[in-house]
Amino acid sequence: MNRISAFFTFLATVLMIFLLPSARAQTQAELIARGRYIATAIQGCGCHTREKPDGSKDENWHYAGSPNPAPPFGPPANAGWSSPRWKKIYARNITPDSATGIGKWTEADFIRAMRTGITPDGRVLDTQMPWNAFQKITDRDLKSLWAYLKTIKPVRNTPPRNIPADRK
Amino acid sequence: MRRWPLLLGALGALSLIGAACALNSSQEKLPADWEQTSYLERGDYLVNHLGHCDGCHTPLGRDGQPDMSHFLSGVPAKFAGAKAGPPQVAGFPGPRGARFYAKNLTPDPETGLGRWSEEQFIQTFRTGVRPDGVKYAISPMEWNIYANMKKEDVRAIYRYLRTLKPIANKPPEDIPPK
Repeated sequence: MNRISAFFTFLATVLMIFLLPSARAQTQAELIARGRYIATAIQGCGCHTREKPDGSKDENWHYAGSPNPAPPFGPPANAGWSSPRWKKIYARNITPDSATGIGKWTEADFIRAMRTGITPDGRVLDTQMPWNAFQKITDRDLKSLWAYLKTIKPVRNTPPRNIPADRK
Repeated sequence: MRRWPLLLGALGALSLIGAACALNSSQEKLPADWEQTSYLERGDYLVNHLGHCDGCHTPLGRDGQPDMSHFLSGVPAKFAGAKAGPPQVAGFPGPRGARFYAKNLTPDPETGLGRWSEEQFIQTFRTGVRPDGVKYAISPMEWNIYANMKKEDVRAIYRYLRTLKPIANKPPEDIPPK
């Protein structure tokens, strides 16, 4: 009797594992593939790649943030955005370069920044980087994006400092 | 003898699972890698969170935050001709004097996507060519990226957008590159 119920418990467990793919542990390769799909099909993170004069993205600087010095005018990925807090706010380097990008961040750092806007060095990101919308990205998708970001080419570039808005 | 109720119970459970699967596939099958349980939920997730369409397609209020009473209705018509300001006001500058304005994604029939069919919407994402035939080689809407999106994801976005409140707003006309 006990053996039979043990058998059915086992059977049910096996079935659950096959029926619920999300219950399966994700391999690193699966995470990277999922992250790549997000970054190359849905959320291109295009703000972080500067544009060439013809308006196309400059792939030599993929995800490396605004040029420094930034031009005074032009597309925001090059010349910066503005927000109530900042007269000019520049996209940061999100490549895995350890000196100028996010190479020293951990997965936990990345998830915290994406959910709360707080970076490992204690800055609070402006919502121009829409962490308030990204808060509800699922754990699995954030982990996937992080796994993918670790695989891209590190590019050395420190974008300009942001310029605070004029006090009124 | 006492095994029978257990076996029957197990068989019953299995057939229930089978029935549930059959019921599911008789409706519309959801891609296995979705964490969401319907097209609308997936669309909401893609539009409002992962894709963040809001960032360009919703105008800003006085406080500089998105004006949710004009959710996803594009650059307000009144800003036509504005030379300076954030992209939600002055559009995105493009090459050779071009300027691109975020469009109205609400189901308003005259000024939004109200007359677009699901197939037209999917085609636009596949090819970057709008139903009216316009195609930009370069635009802030990164069609080369969205072309990689799975059909089911584009469909989910379309279906979610259909549930929005229609808002009448005709964004300023784009200025193509010279």
